[in-house]
Amino acid sequence: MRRSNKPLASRMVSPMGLLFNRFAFAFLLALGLTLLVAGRSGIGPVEQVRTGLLDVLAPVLDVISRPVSAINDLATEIEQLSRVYEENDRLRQENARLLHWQAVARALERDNAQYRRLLNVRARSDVTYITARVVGESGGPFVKTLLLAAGERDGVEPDQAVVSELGLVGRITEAGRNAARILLITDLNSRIPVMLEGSRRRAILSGDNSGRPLLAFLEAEAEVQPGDRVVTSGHGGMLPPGLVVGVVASVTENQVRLRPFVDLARLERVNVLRYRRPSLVNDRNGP
Amino acid sequence: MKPRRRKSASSRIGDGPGLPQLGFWRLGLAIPGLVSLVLVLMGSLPIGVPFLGPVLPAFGLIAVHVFALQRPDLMPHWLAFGLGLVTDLLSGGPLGLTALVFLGVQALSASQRRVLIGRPFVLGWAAFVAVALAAAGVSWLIACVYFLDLVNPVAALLQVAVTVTLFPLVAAPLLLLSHRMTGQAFA
Repeated sequence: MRRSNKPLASRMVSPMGLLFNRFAFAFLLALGLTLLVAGRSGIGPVEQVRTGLLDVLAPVLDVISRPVSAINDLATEIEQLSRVYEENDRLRQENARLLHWQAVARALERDNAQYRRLLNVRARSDVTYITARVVGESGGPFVKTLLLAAGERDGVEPDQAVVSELGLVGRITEAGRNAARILLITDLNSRIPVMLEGSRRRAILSGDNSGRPLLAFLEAEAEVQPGDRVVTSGHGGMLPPGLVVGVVASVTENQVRLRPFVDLARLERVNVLRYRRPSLVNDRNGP
Repeated sequence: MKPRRRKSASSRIGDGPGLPQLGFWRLGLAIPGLVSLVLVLMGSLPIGVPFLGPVLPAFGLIAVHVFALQRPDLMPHWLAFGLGLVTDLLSGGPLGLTALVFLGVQALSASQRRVLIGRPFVLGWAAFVAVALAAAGVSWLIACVYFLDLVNPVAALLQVAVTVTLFPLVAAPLLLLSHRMTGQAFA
């Protein structure tokens, strides 16, 4: 049978085609709006479907992100190679300084252990790590998230803290079987209880999608200066206390902004903290 | 009679009805969709460009615009919507936001075929700037309503700037592909 030579576009603009097209457009428009409303209000299985599809997409991203990761590693190595002498000199000086700090830390550790024994303090060592690769970024302007190639199968669960070697990155918001999503501390929806390390004044670290999240609800009488270190307070029991977050970047009359220690745009591997929250209920015996 | 090939300059953004005239393997018709999907996935890769921060170019937007303009039959509403949904799933943003934006871009770009096909590439580029700005504006409005907050629009504008800058690099191979698929010359 000979195929019609009539171009598809002219076939598409036939009355039936036009009607179908308009119907499809209206249907998809309504579907999109429904998804938005359902997602916002938590109606229906939107979150479950999203997590399920994340599991399907994450392995694909994992595969195609490997060459990118290799190129990034190569670029970093070349960059480091170009300033190896300068770096070597810097590290030598830092090593001398750290050796001094090591001696101080050992002495303090001994003292601490002695005081703990005297006071019968219960040591908390219930934090373990899961190291995982970052395979995707949100990339969009309205959300700041990362995709992780580890999920429930590896022990990752929602609300766990995510850190890099430099400090806090964010927390897990979704966990599928093989993949999980991290909400970065800079995201609009991120709220982390923190405190100024020196004065122990509490605040809420509130993301606004910029690279410099706000320190909200800081006590009015709190003295804060650029350069002050900020750590997690552990209040609310979601995150372990004492995780380093960043330093105060700017202080104005209305707002205090923080510069995170972690370069959130260049993360390749992160650690998910498995932290047993303090609870009044005995987990072993059940409620 | 063999269809006469028209000499088209590389600076042209499209030509003629832009539809298959040569017999094409059925599976080949899925190429624009697959290429667009790859571009959407690429838009989620952790590239680690320092000055961009976590904002990455919207490669998917370029794909939807170019294919809707060149081959609306191969970039139907449902495909643009689906690509947007995948983008939303990957980004973790409001599910449906990018899907609606891509649907709008598909309809807008396809409706401008008569105006843009056969025009110089620079004009097509300028048209994409308008499309990208409109898409960012609509996204921003939806995001503000969704989050019930005045979302900072700087990141959205930064994404438009990056996407528009990279448009020729991404659009050129897509144009080449759509021209090949129409069986027309693309010098």
